[in-house]
Amino acid sequence: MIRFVIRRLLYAVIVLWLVSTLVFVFLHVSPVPVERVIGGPRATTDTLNQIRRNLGLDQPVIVQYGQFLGRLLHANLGESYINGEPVTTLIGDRLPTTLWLVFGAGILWFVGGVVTGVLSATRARSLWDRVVTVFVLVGLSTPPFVMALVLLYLFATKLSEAGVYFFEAGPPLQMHFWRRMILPWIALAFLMVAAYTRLTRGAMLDVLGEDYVRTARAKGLSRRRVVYKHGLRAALTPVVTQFGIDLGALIGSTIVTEKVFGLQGVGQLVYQSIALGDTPVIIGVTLMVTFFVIMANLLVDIGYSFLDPRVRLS
Amino acid sequence: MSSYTDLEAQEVDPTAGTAPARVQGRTPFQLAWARFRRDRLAVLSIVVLVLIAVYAILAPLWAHLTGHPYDQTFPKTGLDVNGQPRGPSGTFLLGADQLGRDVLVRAAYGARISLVVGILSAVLASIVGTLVGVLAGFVGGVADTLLARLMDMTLALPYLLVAIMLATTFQISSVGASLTLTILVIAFFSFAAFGRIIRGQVLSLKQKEFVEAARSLGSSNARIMFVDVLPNLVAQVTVLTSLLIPTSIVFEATLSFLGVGVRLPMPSWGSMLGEGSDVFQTAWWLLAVPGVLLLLTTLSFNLLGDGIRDALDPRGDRATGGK
Amino acid sequence: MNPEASGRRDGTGPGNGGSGQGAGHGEVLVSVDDVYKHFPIKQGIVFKKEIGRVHAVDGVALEVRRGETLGIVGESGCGKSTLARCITGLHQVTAGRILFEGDDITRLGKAGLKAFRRDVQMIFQDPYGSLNPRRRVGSIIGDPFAVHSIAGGAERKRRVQELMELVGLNPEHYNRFPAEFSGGQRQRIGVARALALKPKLIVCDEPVSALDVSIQAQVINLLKDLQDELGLTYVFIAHDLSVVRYVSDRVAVMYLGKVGEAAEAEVLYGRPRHPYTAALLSAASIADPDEAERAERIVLTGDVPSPIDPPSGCRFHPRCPKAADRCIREDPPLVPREGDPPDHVTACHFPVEPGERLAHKHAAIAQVSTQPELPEAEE
Repeated sequence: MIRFVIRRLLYAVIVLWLVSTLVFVFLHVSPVPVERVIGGPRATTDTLNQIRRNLGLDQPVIVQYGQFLGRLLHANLGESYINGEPVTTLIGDRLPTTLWLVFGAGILWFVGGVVTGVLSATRARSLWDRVVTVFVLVGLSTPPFVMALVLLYLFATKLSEAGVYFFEAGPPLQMHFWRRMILPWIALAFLMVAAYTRLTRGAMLDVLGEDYVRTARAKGLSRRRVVYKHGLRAALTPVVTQFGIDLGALIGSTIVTEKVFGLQGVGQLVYQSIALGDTPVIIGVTLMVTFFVIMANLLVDIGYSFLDPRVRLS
Repeated sequence: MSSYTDLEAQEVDPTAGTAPARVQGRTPFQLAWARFRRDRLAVLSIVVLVLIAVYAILAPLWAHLTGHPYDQTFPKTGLDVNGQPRGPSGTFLLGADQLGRDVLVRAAYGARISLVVGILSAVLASIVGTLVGVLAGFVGGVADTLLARLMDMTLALPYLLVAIMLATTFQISSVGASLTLTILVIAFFSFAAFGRIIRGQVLSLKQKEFVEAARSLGSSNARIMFVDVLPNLVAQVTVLTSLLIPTSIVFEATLSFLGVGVRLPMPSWGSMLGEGSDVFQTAWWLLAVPGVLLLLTTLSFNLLGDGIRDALDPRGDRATGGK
Repeated sequence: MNPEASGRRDGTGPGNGGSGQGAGHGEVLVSVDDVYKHFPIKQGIVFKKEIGRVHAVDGVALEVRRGETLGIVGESGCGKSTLARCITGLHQVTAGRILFEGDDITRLGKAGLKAFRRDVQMIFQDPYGSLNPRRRVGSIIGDPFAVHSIAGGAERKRRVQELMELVGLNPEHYNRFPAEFSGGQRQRIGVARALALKPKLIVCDEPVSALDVSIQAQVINLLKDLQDELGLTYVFIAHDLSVVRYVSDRVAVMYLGKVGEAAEAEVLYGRPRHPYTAALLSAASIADPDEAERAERIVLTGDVPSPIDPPSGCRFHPRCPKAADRCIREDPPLVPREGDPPDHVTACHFPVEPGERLAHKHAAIAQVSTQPELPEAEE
């Protein structure tokens, strides 16, 4: 187990290195001219060159890469080209918003998806099941940003015209926390609830068809007990697996939700940095997100061995 | 054993009612088509998609009939005295946008983008994914390890972030180049998941006795791959591709919404939603028209994909699943 | 045995040229010479290291003679299917030689292997898994012609339909898919495919064990008829003793990757010398109820040990009612035992004597033995 974790962590380091190198090379092959961004449209060539020198951009790429790796080894992501703030500070300021967004939505979609999925699996072919099937299809077909726009239109615009305030925009996060987060959560969770309903329903139906479940029924255990004790536990394994992976991946794709609802999270940060050519911030966020994805996968694998006694890590 | 028995029973069943004496063998394709035709939702979704496709193909005609080219603004007729866009009316059937352009015409051009990008990138991803998956699964060894790791890494990348980065840093201004780039970016982030599934399929097919049988006959690896393995992947690839199309359409719309997809002035449903988002509270049609079209298209493709899957594999994947 | 077989073979049989001339019964077609097949168990992502190996076939020596049927029996996991795949060249052997008409097939190059594959065909266990579900029957049976570029177009179709007729299938079903056939018919398709190239040897890997008992007889009789008609040589692998007895001229009994005993079928079934053979035979059902009453069962206890770490000495000793200290130390050679004909070989230090009652020896064994496995035998 410990050896497994160590090996996976080593693998994570390699992936992080590869990803950062990839992004580094890419940003150097085709850069947004950051000196132009800083210097403004009327800056002279001399000014532009001075900015490049200040940022260390005049040195050969290989030297820059060496400096970059050296900093990385000391867990230093460097400073923003634009405002000179350390990248770790920038990310640290924005991360709580994104984490609140992702975990809140995660709880919402996990609970929502599992409950709906179990209910429709145990009532297969009922009216409820049909309604759920339609919901799943629509949910899976709705682009998240369209959902966000619709929610914003209905609840933020139309209801506030009617004097009901469902939504507050703008910092700081602590004020009106619920009012600020509830719509982004729903927007982010909507598609996922549909996906998890489908996943849970399928897994549950598979499990309920297994021989050992039928045996448990034949032994005289109550239907409720079989469904919730035997069935749910086995059915949840793939769902939890997927949950870990999605949660990790989502941290990198909150850009749209943050933009629509005006949340100042990591997504907005990187979106702006890309437009400005702020390479250190872009690389920093990319590394952070990749790190989350890998950690989520690792946690899933470890969790797997607890949920499913057949899996042993080696 | 039992599942095969009732499988046979089921396949014979449709003909048994009409001509029990002469049971004609039907190809899997015919059987699938018969099943598909009975799926009313799937057939309906085809009708919807055909209508959307016709709407998209005839985009220049709408522009001609209304006299509103997609990139031309009509501040006099399209905007009211306060500069707010006018809603659906006789001149602007689906309203005008914030610059006074015709939403009907623009949405038709947007449909072209959505369909072209969605289908092309899904097909591209499925070709590359199948190739990589088959190669990894069939060749095995070092090639497999490398390709599997490559796919793992692609899946670990924050795709939206990297996609935005790719789209931004290539300093592209022409519509055609941005279209190509968008397709490539979407395909790049879809092929890995595709390839992983195909690789798993190939690995399980490789264990099948009919592959061993082919080998014992003296079939070459290439022959086994093309004659024995690939035909068994056709159903899977078709289903996956058809389900990848709506995902790709959403991907494109998201990129365009963020302003990094297909370049302006070429309209895309995503960029229409992005541009109009400031005036939604007064101009609901700017949200409704591209939003509904987008939802309708992805929903139809999803239904179509489900229908194809059910038709090809009525009970899970017969070729590779089971014993 | 079948002395006329060679005579019939000359007319319709395969491989009339070359070494076939005047070849009759008794001439060795395949010689398996001390063959080992181990499967390594590997661990690790990039640098795989071997952490163990499955001794699937562990030193097997056999001969298959032209025109005969050699039966190979054993429990599942004894390596008989692996041996079959070694003989057909589907597995690379770990060590040893397999001579086919005098050529070592383990050293064949690409071209040699392809030629070899024309002469040796295989019939598989699973009539569902061994036929590609996406291909038509005609194309499946015609595959050998296509692979070896022998016949194409109308000629191929004609020959495929001939084959279909030969194995009792309706040639009009040429364009059907495997799913449209029953298990027995599917196995006939497999037989037709194996016959297409007129092979010199057909290895049947449990060809009927997946079929209903009523269908089994049909397929077995088909195989026998085809052998008489075409002078085929079979290696017939099964775990069903009565099936093997019915089809085989000679029988080899495998246990944990080794041959325990081999002899002419009637000899082996009438006078088994290896305790394992005796136990297997006593467990088989006997058709005659009077005889069944007289027979006593030797109940083997315990499981087949893992082929990853096979027992020392004689592989069978942990389960053998006659096991003694020598069996733990010393691996018995496969040689004729006292009073047996030269082709009846047994790998046992203490062969079963006629009339010996193995079932009653249990108590005595439990006393002498110090092996940890044996106390289980009393359960």
